[in-house]
Amino acid sequence: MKQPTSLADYLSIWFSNYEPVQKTLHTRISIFAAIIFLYTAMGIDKSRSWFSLDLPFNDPLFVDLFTLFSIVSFSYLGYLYRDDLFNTMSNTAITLLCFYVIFKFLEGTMSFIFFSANWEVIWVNRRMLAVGPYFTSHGEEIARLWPSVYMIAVLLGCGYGSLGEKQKNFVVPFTIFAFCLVIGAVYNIRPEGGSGHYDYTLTLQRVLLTLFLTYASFFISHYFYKDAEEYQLNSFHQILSVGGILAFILTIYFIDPPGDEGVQPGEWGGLFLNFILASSAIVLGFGVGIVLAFGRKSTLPLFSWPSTIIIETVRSGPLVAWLFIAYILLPDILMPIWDADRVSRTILILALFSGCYLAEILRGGLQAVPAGQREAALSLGLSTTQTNMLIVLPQAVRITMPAIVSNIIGLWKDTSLIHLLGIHDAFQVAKVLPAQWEFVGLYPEALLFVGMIFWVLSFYLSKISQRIEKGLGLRNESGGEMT
Amino acid sequence: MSNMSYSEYFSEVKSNPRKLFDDSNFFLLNNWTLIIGIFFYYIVTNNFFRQSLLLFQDGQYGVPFYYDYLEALTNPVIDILSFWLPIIFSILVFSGIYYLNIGSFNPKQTDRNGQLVFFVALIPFLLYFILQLLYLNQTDKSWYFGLEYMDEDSGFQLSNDWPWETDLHDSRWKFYAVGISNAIRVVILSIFLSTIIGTFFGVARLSTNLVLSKIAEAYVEFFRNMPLVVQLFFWLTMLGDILPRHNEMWIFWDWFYVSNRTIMFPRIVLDSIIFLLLAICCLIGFRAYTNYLDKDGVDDSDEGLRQRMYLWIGTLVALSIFLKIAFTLEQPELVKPNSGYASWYFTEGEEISVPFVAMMIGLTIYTSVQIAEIVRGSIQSLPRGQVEAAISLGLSPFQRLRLVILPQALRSMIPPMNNQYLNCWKNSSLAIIISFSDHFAVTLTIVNNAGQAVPAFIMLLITYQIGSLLISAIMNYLNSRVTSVKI
Repeated sequence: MKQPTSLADYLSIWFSNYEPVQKTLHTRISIFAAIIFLYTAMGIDKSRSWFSLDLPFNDPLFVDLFTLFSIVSFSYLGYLYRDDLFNTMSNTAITLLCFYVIFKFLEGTMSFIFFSANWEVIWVNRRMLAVGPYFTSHGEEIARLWPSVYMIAVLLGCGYGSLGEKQKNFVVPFTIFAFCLVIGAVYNIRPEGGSGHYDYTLTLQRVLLTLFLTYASFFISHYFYKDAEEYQLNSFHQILSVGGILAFILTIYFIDPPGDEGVQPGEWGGLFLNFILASSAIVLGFGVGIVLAFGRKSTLPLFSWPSTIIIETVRSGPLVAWLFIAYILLPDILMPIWDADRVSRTILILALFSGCYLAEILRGGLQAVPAGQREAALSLGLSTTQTNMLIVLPQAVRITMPAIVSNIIGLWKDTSLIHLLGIHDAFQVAKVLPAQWEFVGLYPEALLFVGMIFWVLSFYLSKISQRIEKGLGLRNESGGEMT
Repeated sequence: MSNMSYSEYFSEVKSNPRKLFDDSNFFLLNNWTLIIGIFFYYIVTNNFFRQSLLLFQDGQYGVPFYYDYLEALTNPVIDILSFWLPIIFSILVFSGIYYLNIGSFNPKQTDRNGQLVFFVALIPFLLYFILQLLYLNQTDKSWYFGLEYMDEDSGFQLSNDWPWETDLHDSRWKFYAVGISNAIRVVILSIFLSTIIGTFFGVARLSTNLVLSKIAEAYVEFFRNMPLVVQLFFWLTMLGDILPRHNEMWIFWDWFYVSNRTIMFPRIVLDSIIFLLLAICCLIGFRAYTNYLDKDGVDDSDEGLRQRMYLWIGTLVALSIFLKIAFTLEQPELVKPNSGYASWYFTEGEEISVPFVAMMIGLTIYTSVQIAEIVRGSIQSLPRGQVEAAISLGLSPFQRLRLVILPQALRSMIPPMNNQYLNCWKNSSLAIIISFSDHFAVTLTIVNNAGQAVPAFIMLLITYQIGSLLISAIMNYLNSRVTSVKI
């Protein structure tokens, strides 16, 4: 090979062969730089502060300069992946078009998020979004919610600690989350605002206790279950799931203990109501789903006909219709037995609805379990119930795990529908926030924020589902690249 | 214990009394879930029995026509019965489950006795529900099964009734039909658009072009995990923000008027039906003639292609002339009676309402991301050899997609696609959130002003079921078409 002699030679070699060792790092840095430069350019253009620092230059020339920097960062990105992006003419055209779309989209989004949006509407009302209007105006009742927070913290820590992953994977994201939590709980830009009383020191103590519990349970369980055998982990997870159900029952008990005291379910609201609705509907729906799936699969007419009728009737209508039926008609039937309030009725109907869909999913799984498994279990002397519960059902759940998780995601998203019944869930709160006189018409901010709350959990669940799929070996990714 | 006859057991217990306690301990330990379950069953049935017995009685809860037969059912009797009946039923169910569990029957008997125990366990609930339904049917207006209320005047008005005209004195049937037509309009348009958009993004997600695939991924992930409710409401508010006010409306060549109150476009009016029939005949004739020409395979010589081109051009010209004569376009006309823009209205033209647009955007995007995932999944499940073979045959990327990949992916795409179309049809019920009057919103209004909830909701469920069955039938037909060729 010819030795490079001039600068032009060096440059041409560098440009033709350049492939950085840390390609991913370069990609991330250039994306980050592009966004920061664009932000700076727009900040100078609108003469706003730069992350609450005042920039010394206000010349319009710098706007063009920083926009150019941003474009250069994008170009570097394109240069890094030039083999994929610029190999043919049509690909080049598509790439350029895509870069243009990304650039315009980033510009619009960032100008909305950083400059034109008024996020104060969320910040001032964050308590209302989290716990609903009743707990906001009755600040002293909020102590009823904290025990369940502690329990969930312990369960979360134990669950993550026993997954057998590196500590870093949990500690880093959770610490970031913890900082946000502490700031959100304590730092208030409008201390005199709000009608309910709000005790900063007490809240801070409680938040810190929650964080301490999570970290402690994480590190302890990680220490004990780092190199544990699988059967130990399984038994621990069994204990955890029983603990989860207990925690749920205790949560309901703490919020609304039997007797005159306590907060009625009709007064619950905010994001925590969405959590309660989703989790209770999942747990109850699982029971309903298992019963209906076995019932429908049964050869005995007394079991199979009612289950088929129930499943098909419930699946025929949309969830909204069933919610309104629960709202209007269910009290007539239940009234003498149980004076159920709106939230309980909603939980019942959500459980029935998700249970019917789950039954159809599980039925597919039950049919996919090889007949030999069942025969082997029966010949070992297990009873029919034992065979179904210990042998067939776990395998069916394993096969249908992705579908079950997507069902859960759907249920979580559908909990935003209950605002139609006049329950103050997170979406309903976000819908009425722009009616406050200081924040008239700030619909995009409120809606985007509450949408992103739903989005984050659904996205997280779908990522978990993909990991489960991969772990169980259910993924089939063989081919199909084109264009 | 089960293997022993009772006399043997008693003699053994006589000789060693402690065995009785050992056995009961053993029994309690083994059956603790059953015992707890039966305890709850007892508590629940207690309440149900009391209420159903009260329903037999005349008075506050009573059903009059049972009264002649059940005079003896006084309050003390009810107290006694509702104390003993739950105990008897609990013991029956408990012993039934216990004997089923210890395996003292052969399989056939197990089946029969299992159903029997199930039925006995259900009796209190069934009794209560049947009695309560009968009671409600006679005393409560909303549980009266009859459709007479649908013939009455509606008593409300619709904001979206295109292309029909409704007014206050039309029957509720007409309103319901308009609602169904609204829902079908939205659903068909959304299904059509979302299939195209979803296929595009599903294919783009697998593209080798990194930027394109990332954009497609971001699109899919963003809209898939956002609740449809939030999306619909967001689009409605955004349209309200973006579209101009009524006095500053966008006017395109006097044909289209866009404002945040209405969107007007020209009306197509049929002038002469003869020319429309001529146009249809022209199309059919063209189709028949080309079929006749192609009966021995397509003639792709120069002469044949030229002939085909002349045929195409001739048909298109004839069609456009006929259609031009057959239809005229009526331009929407803005009438301004006062200077205040609240009183402006249109006389001609057709109207699209803003909620309809918001509904269509939201539903289309939400369905399209689901379809994109389906398309991606079914393309990924194809064997890799197919693509490699297509590459080695020298097909261009588009040809590969059109001729090799999509036809094969279609086989595994159609059943999940059917599910998504059904979801789209059911999700159209969310129109109520953005005040678009589909049949669900109309039903709710009818329930509110006529008060007959049960027949209205049954009709609603039947409508949804019929729609679902229609979609399923169409998709099953397509599926059988696609899978008729075995590979």
